[in-house]
Amino acid sequence: MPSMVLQPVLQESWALIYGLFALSGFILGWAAQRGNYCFVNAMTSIFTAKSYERFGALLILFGLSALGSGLLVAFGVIPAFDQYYYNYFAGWYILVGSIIFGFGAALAGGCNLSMLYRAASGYVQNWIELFGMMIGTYVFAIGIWPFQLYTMANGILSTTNGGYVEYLPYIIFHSISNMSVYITTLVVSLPLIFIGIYLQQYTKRKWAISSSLRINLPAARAYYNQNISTSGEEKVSLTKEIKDLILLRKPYGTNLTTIILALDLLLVFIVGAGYTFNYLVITSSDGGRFFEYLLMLGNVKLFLNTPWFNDSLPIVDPSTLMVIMLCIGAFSASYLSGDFKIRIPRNKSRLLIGFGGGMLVGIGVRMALGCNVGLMWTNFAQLGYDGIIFLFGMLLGVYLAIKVQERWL
Amino acid sequence: MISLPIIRRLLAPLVVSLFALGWYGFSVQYIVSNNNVALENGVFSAYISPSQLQGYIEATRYICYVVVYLGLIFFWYNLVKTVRELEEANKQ
Repeated sequence: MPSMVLQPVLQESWALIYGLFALSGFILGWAAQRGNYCFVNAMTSIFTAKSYERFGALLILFGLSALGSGLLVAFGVIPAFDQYYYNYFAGWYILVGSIIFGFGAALAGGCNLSMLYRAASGYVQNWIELFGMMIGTYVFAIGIWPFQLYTMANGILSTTNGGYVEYLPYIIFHSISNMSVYITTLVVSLPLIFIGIYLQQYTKRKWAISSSLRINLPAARAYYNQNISTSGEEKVSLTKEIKDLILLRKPYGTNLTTIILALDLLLVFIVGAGYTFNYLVITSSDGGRFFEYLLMLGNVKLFLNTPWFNDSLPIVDPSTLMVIMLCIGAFSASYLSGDFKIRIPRNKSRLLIGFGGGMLVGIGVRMALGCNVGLMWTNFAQLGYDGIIFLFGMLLGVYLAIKVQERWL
Repeated sequence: MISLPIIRRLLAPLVVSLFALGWYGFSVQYIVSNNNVALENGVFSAYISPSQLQGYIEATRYICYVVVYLGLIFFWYNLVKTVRELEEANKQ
């Protein structure tokens, strides 16, 4: 039976670990804000605009994360137990939770990542969504968690353990040797990367064809040709492009953001190995934690007697600073680029929808044991299979939300 | 007349600096004491070890320094810029 004992890779102080997690949060917030990176938008655009560009970028992100973390383990830099130790249980709750999450996030207008960086950029609707998420977490804790815990403990449509039980190299090869991790890494990551690139190329080709069909007037054709040649010249002036990105004159492209985020995950994977949950994780538990903090100001201590708060949530962990610094990173990016502005939606009912969507997000992420970042993206890097379940559940939830919005909202 | 974007430009760094100060103050006052309450009541899933808590407080303090200094630098830079712009507008 594989070991379930964490083994620190680097000898660091806790202050440094917290500091580096905070730095990774800052990078995450900054890059996501500049790249306008949103998991929900990536999925929504599949059903509304038939565009796979951003969804392809998501698959590339998952693939790169799995490839990077898997190779680090396969070549012995990080012990395998530091990769699978925090793999969660799998069961009905991941599928149901991800559907609820996808539905709520699409209604509210943002996934957990975009909710935070947009809130930090001044979007009031996302402030309301965040508050709704806190309330949703509380509703989950007292209404759903005891039942869910019972099914998890008794293996009712659920595995009764996490860790190596959920680790694909162990499931496939009954081994956590370097070679089994290596083969699994390639089997999981390369198809994701290739499918992601294919989807992006497919969308670009489709746009090019539809553009050429639309542009039939001589003047428009001349303009189009001019733009083609301009884009050719832009390739030459790479330094100008880089300068514009550094000076925040241009937003980051989707693929640049994807690469930054994948490297950010690997930073955390190495730094936190053996100490704590060494993946990027945002808000899914911290939504509950911040609600707990708010109530602490009124001397209410949820961790003493409220389910989930008193059995699953440490009072603080490195992800807390990650979330705080994500907001500061996103704020800094939006402020320095001139994007920052308090934006109140004209249609005030959007606020109510944002709150309701936020509540569903809070319930969904807690049921699924994590959000689109802390469970889905992370689980691809963990070489688990919960992320695959979450991906399809979230797609279904987003699809249902689009149908509801088209019909009733 | 000072426009809304200028107020936003001036206030935003101050708000972030105050937030960082407030967060550090909250951590020292509430998180430390509530961690002790968790230990006294035997809620070990909420409790974190003293070394980890100390690391958190230390990291938060340094982050607070950085955010407050940067916030004040931006505030001061924008204040000077705004005064200059207003003076030039008055001259014209």
